[in-house]
Amino acid sequence: GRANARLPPEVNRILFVRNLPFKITAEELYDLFGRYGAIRQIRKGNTKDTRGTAFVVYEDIYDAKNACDNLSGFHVLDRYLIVLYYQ
Amino acid sequence: LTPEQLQELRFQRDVDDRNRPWVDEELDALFPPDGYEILEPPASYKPL
Repeated sequence: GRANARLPPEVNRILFVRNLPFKITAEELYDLFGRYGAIRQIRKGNTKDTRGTAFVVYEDIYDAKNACDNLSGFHVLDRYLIVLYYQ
Repeated sequence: LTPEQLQELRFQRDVDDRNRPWVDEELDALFPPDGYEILEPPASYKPL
């Protein structure tokens, strides 16, 4: 929501997500993260080292904060999502 | 302007600044050059 409390500096529109199921699809990612607001872009890891991670870019900083607050520790196919602000 | 209005103005400017849209090239510069693919939004995707 539009709380007028000042946003901490680390909050930004790009989330770095870890512990994703390897076979999660674009539809599933857009569905899961799209519930919190308009998505500017999603980049999904596609190598041995980056599999299971993704960058999710929101259009609005409040949507990103809302998603981060709600999806950290979210349970997806027996995995707990790790959602961090990308610095 | 009252102090509260000034504070609100300053706050709004901060949010607007942090919400400045990126062009694709700006986004590319923010991320690792490889190891990630940009996903096509599914046809069913309707931004909120």
